[in-house]
Amino acid sequence: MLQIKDLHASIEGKEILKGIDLEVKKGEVHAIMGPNGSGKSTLANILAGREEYEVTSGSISYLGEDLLELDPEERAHKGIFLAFQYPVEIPGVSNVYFLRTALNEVRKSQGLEELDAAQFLKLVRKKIDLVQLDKSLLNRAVNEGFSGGEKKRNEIFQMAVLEPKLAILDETDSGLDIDALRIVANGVNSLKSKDNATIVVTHYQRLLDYIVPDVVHVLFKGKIVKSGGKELALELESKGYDWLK
Amino acid sequence: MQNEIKHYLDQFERFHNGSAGQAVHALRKKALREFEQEGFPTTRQEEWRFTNIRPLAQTPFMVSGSAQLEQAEMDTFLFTDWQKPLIVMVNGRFDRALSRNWQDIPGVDIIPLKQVLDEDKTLFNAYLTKIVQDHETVFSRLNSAFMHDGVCLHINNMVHVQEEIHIVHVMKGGEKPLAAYPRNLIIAGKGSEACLIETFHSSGTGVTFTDMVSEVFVGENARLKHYRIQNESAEAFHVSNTAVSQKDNSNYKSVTFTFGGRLVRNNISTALNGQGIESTLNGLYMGGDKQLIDNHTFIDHARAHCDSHELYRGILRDNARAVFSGKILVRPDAQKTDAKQSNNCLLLSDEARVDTKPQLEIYADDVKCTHGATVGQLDEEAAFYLRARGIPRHKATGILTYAFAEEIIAAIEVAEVRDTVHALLADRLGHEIDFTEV
Repeated sequence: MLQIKDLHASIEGKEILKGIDLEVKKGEVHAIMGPNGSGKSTLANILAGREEYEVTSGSISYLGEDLLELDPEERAHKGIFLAFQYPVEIPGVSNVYFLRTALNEVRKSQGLEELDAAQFLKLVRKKIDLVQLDKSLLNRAVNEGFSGGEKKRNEIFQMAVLEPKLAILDETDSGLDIDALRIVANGVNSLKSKDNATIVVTHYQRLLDYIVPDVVHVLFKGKIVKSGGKELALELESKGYDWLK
Repeated sequence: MQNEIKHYLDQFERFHNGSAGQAVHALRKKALREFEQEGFPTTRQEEWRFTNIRPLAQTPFMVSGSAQLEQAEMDTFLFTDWQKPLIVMVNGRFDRALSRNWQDIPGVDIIPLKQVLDEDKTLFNAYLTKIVQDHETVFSRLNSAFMHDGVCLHINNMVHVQEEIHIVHVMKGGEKPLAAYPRNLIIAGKGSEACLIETFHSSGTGVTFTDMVSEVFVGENARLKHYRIQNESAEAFHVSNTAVSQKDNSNYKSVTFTFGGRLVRNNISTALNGQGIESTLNGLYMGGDKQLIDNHTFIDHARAHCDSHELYRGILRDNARAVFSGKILVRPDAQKTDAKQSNNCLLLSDEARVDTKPQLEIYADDVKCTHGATVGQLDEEAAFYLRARGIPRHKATGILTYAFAEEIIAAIEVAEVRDTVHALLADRLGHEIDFTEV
């Protein structure tokens, strides 16, 4: 599904990623762990198409296409979803309008009929329970005045509605208490299928108690220094990152 | 500048030849003399520092005669299925044939201003020029010199007008540049309530100039809402001078939407001549190409316990320019004043520019006055968020621009006004977003 080859990227002239190789297959869950500043979020954001980062060399192929040629919206149309580390507040735009517009853009790109307001609400009712998000938040402005946990659950709710092929969770666990963490993880797990894949970017091991990865990668100073099974996450938890230096 | 002034003196001779017998003629002549002395302002004058009116002053506008408008064209300016009172002004003249449902509103007198001037009606003469005289500008004087027709709206004491009144102003261009000087006199009697909507449109092509004066009197305990949507052509010059006088416990709310016009200047002044008054001046403008949109507001807190609220939002594209100047005067007697002013501008291009100037003059010590001004560009972080969910760039821009304006739109009480503003925004943003569902 996703092949990253020797990816180098920088922001404002500073090199952050220094040669990343990563392959993610359908049905897999990959965890990317690493200390602060190792480049985890950079990688997540480059996959989603954030333009501030400059890819200086290397390639990313997604479903056989050159991902770096696509605009962020085109990537979303083709099934890439980034759950933001810091979901953005958009005063003046209701959550429900935003999400319906997004879903209809995705559907349009796939040659599907757009959903009208009634059809959309029906869909939303089914999905919102998955993340136990208060229904009153639907008619509120996007993320405005949401608690940290609500914002993160709103991300997973959007993911449930958009049904991506490749979901990238960027530090979705940060700032969540254990109950919220469990809800988020349940949401992610129930959306898992043999046809889609998930990349979980996290600093801590605790999310991986709930979302069990097939492969764990350790990112350190812009490179993947170690990959392994889920037990690698536990090892990191007990030893920290220092032993990798 | 001499030739420019002489042009108006010649126009005056031509236009008002033979009307010397009317009582109003003295008012006109006085205004013309003052205009002659003052002349057109230059950017050296503080009130006009950012707005160069030379293109307007140098255009030899002819006073427009009456113009005909086909019903079919008229219909394009109307709200859908509007059965409520409708007054049509064409090139500054009250058009009885196109107006409807305006004569039999219980407790409301609507009279073409021409009739008031010609027949020397004492009630309205008691007010005419009395409100604007404290807030004169060169353009209000020019209007007084050429005032000829307009709308006289008198709401009797304690009358609650159930239906909104829509005044449609159409400016039909010709081969030569044409000017119109419509004049409103609006009197809301004690304890009355009404909502007035004015919309401004162009018909055909040609350079036009609308120089409007509205004198508004809001009596004790009266409530008046005043919506204006200016959507004239890119060849139109438009200057509106609105002078408001409010009495005890009255409530006036003005919302000024500016979309059209080459050069637009809206002067609005409210004098809070009583206690317990609430005054709201809101505005939303969207400019593109080389438009210049200038809003000047002045709120005069003369007495104690009055609240004023001002919220202006602007959206500029291309090479558009805007000016916002908000003056708040709190006089020594105006203790317990609560005045809030906020103006924000969103620049969608690097070439667009806005100049904002809040001016607070406070001579009372127990007051609350706040003001804030922001100028910014589109929130790229928010745009990326929308795009990452599949919403294309241009649509993301539209949604975020709409969101910027939403606070003002959400406060519109009249569905037809809201729908019109939605449609104009969608049109200016160049794509179809059904904002009604946002």
